[in-house]
Amino acid sequence: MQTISEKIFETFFSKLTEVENVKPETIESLRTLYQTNQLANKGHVTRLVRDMERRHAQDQNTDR
Amino acid sequence: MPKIKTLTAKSLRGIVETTLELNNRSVVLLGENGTGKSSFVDALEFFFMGRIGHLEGTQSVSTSRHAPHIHAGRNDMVVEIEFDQPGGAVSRTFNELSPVPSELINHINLGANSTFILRRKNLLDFILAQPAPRYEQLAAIIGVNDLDKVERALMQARDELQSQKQSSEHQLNSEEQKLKELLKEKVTTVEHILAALNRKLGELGQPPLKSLDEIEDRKLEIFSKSRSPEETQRAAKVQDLLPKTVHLMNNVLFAEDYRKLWKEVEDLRQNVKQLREMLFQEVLTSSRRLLTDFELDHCPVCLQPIDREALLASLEKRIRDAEQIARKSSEIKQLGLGLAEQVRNQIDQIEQLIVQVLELDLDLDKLSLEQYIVLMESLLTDLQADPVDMHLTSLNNLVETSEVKAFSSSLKDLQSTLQSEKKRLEQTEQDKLAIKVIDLLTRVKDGHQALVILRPQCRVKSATYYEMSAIYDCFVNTKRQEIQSIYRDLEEDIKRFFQLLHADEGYRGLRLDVKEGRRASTEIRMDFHEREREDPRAFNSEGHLDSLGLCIFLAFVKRFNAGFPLLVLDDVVSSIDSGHRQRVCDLLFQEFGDYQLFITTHDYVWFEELAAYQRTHNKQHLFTNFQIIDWSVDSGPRLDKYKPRWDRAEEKLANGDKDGAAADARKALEFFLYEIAVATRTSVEIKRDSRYVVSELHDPFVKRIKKLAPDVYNNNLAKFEALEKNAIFGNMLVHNNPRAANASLEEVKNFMNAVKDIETLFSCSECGRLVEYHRTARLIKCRCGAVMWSTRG
Repeated sequence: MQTISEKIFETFFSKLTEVENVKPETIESLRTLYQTNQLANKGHVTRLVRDMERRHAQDQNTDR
Repeated sequence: MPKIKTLTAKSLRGIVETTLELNNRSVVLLGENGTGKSSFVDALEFFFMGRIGHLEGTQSVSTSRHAPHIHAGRNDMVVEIEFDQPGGAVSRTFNELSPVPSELINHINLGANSTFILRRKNLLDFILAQPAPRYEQLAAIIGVNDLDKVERALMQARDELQSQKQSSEHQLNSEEQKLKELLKEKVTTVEHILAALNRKLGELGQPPLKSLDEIEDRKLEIFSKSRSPEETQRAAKVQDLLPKTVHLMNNVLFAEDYRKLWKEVEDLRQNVKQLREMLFQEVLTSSRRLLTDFELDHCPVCLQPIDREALLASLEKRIRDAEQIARKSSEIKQLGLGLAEQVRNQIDQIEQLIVQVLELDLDLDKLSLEQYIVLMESLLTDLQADPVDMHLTSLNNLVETSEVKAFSSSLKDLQSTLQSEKKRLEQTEQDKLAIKVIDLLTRVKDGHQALVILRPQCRVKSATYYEMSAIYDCFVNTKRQEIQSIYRDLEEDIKRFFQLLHADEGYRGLRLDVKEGRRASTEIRMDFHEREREDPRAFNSEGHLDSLGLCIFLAFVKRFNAGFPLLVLDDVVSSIDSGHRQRVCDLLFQEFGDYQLFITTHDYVWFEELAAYQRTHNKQHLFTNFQIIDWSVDSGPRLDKYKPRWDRAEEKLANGDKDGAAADARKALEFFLYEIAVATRTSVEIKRDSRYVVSELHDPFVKRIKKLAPDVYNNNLAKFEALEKNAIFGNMLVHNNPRAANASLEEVKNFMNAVKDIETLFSCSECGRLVEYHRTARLIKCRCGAVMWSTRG
């Protein structure tokens, strides 16, 4: 049976796909962190942020 | 669903070693305060959770240090539970849970993730707590506590990105400003920079550059034409290092910003009164609304008259103070994060400086610089903390530390070394000009490169911040909507439970709301008579608030602990009166009949009521009632199975314990007279503590019955006379009267029988409860519906 917490995360990930500013790769990374129970881990979230920055930097290089 | 057969606790809290034989039944456990009854609750919690919640969360107590019995160590503590399942004994120590039979794995896991214990001290948390701690309590039952940790991690990431974004924007502005000052005009593009640089080169008699890419070639050309190219190059490097060193010297500890932050933090912490107001912000706002909406002239809690205008003015001021301090706290946090970013940049600059000075092979006290870096890194942790948790050293004390003194001193030495070196290298006018041109070219190139790096960095930080912000907002909104929807579902159960306890008392709607604009908080609102959406504290007695807390807990348990049929209520009904406690029995038996209940109480009357309820509803086979008859630190609690009061008194009498038997009879008489006086609306002198002795209740009660139901009195005259004749024992026993001490066994027996007869007379022949006078119906009848007598009143 799905717990309340699982239901909230499922809805969150589903809504996140509709949020304009959020990249699919970020959603995938968030989902991986959630599945490995690391979403509250500061170190893992910091790495996630670094990856987000890297992707935004790549976008800028591509745009240039 | 597995149920508990035996619970054995060893060396835990007040228990030395005791086994409770539950035999899959529910348990009611009576014990005076401090006799170890809650230790059994702790044992259940430790078994399923591996910890004892009320021993956690503060620095001074912990499960590992304070759960073991005072004469035992961690390794002695064991809790073993035998379930009614095959292979069903499992034990837990601090180190491990013994192998769990496959049939029980799911059950033990459910227990570990369920909130199934309600303690007296938690009860009012649902009602009286601020919305945030209330949310924490409910979130634990729903099982969404982990979400809060995720929310905090995402919020922290968002806030750090915001601070980095602001810092990189600040750096970019600063670099643009430096170039503007150097070139004497605002430059935004490469073309602008090149044009402005060429104008400056012209002023120094130098030919223009075609592009900024030519800067290094031009520098080499100047070096080659100078008297000693190596020395000119070295002079340029020295020239470059000097302002960097001065900049670091002028910004040791960012004195101005640090002093400002330190002062703000100290002001905030010293202003204890204002900090307290921040905690009370919710209560103050609710109180203001109550006063304005209902124009109250009396305090709804203590009922004392109030000067509404003066109180409103005072509340307004306190609310303003609270809002101001919350804003201040947020500003201080931003200040701290900004300063942390500056410290990080400074650390980078010092590390670069060390490399550049060593390349020039100049004297440098490298150790002092590195020790200062270590100091700054430890400061970073504090700067990122919440303002009330920041433990900053005052600037004066920090300046006095050996690391800061050594750092300042070594920078001063370095500055002097660089100046001597500069002087040594500047020999001719031509060399001076060459160095000036090279300095200009180097600074423009560095400035341009900084812009090249910082502009995209700013854009990246900004885009990442907005992405993380969107993630955080989406998470918070989803969580809020889902939890709100759970609250909506549960409101019906809470209302139904509360109605069961307080039918016809004017309570209607009840709402639990996740508070908008707050990270994690829950508000409770109730409708009471014609008032709508009120804070329950506004109109409820402590007993009603307790029962509301109980209903909220039970509704959550029913919904979220399905499949885990254990419910522990640790001394939770002590402020609820007798009539409502009967209804608590109804609620528990109707809604939680299939649960294994574990109820503890220090209240003898409630214990008797639960036992009577079991008898009158044929539920004895589902319960085991224990009482703790004795406790000592060396032997722990001594338990005995419950015996009905009169059986116990007669057993004492049979054993020659006339004092014990007489005391039991006297307690029974006091209890009977109090309850029947309430039930028949007997007028007695009101006492503040509601504690009456027999003589204060006996005569008013008899007078009331003579007036209300004279036939009952006349037809049972012998019983009333026997009570009157023997009631004197009741009073004498209270005052340790020697005459009572010298009473014969026969006299005690007569006293017991007189009390028992009168109690039986006023007990329902159908269900055994005491009867009540119903004024409108002019009847004395039982709550079960059985009519005993009609009355004149």
